[in-house]
Amino acid sequence: MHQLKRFVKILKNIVKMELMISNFHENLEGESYGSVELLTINILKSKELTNMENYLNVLICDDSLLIRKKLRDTLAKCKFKEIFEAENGNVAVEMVKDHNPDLIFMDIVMPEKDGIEALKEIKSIYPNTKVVMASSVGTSELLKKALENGAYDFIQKPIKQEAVFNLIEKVLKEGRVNV
Amino acid sequence: MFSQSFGHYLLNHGLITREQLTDALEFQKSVHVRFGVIAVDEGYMMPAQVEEVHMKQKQVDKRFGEIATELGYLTDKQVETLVSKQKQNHLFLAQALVDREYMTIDQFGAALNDFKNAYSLSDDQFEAIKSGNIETLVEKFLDTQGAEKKVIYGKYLSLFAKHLIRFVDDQVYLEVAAQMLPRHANWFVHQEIIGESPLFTAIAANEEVFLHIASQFAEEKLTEVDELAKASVCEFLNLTNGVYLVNMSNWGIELTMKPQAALESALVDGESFVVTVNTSKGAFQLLLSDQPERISIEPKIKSEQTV
Repeated sequence: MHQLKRFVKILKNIVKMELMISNFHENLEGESYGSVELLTINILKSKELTNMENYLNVLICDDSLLIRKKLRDTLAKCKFKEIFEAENGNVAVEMVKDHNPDLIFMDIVMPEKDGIEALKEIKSIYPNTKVVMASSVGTSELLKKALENGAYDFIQKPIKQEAVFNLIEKVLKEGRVNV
Repeated sequence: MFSQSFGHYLLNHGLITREQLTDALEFQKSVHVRFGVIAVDEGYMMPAQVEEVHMKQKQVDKRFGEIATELGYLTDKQVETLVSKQKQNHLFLAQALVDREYMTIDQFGAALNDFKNAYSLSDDQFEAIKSGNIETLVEKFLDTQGAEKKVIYGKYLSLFAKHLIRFVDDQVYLEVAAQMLPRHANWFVHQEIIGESPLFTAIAANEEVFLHIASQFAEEKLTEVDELAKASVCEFLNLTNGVYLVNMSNWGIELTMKPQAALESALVDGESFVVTVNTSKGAFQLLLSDQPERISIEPKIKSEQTV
């Protein structure tokens, strides 16, 4: 009897492992990802998140072409409905008026209009829009300022892909904001 | 950075030739063992944990051991062991020079001692520098430039050197440039820090070195100075300055900064502290001034823009 129980336990483990392997292959999709990315993609592809992820619009606002490119590459993996880009706060505010994005990644130090000013204006138009500040300047004074003006979260640069995925997961779990 | 500094000391004192130095440093680089690698080899940490610490080091100005301890991956005792093991890295330079008969072991030992005396290093400071302590090395480097320079630029220069090693090139060596401006640069990226301790910061480089910095930071091969390459060097400076602002804030000084900008063929005027930064692909200049209002930049090609 004891041996039978042990055998059933081994069988269960084999089935579990096979399931994990099949999920692993399903998520590879011909691309080579690092282990952390794979894990994150796995999370994002869970049923709950997949149902929600196709109708969100996202805006990247950063004066750095490099940051916009890297962030777009990362976000493209999440299959957003549309990804908009702005190179300063002024352009971002205009884009928000035109497209009403659900989620915004906002740099702070930018020409024309900085991220804090843009945040204030955006929140006055659409109070529910989630604005994530992304900056290399993570001083407590600046964080306080961002939060006081309604920032949803803060990401420290250089931006970790894992941090972006975790944040999107959080946003998606909370549901659409700009209905 | 110790091997590069000591190697250049040997070169500047006529003890070895430039070719011999390049050859020995190449060998040293090929066998140099990183802190994280030793930690994994010793069985203290998992590779994923090392990766996590490396990523964190790009966001906050802390040493590997410090972050790993905070995360609970290493104990203080283990950090001590790793530091003493990493200290042996400079011996690879000695081995390369002696094996190739560029120097005898006695000459190497004597030069090491002369280096220690030339920079007035205490035993503790010398040990710290050999085990990769960049703050101490930069401090001693600035000592030769006067106490004032050390106070004004010491913290920034240490961080800049560490960021270069983390993001761009681990074969970095700093020198104070002979000329203090005006100077001309093929490619020029600048950003101004404002507040009670203002600081003008700029990178001036020729195309090859500019592309080296841009490619390494962007983590992709960039072959021409296009918008992406300019954005990459701009972002490297912006990131370094952002972390500097955080460091200064932690020391009670709140600063802000203006957006960064890139220029082609600029002429820079006004006195600044010029540091020549030698990388594996050649040298570039880091320009610093605590009086940004006295610096003027004239673009020869008027296409200044943030990228």
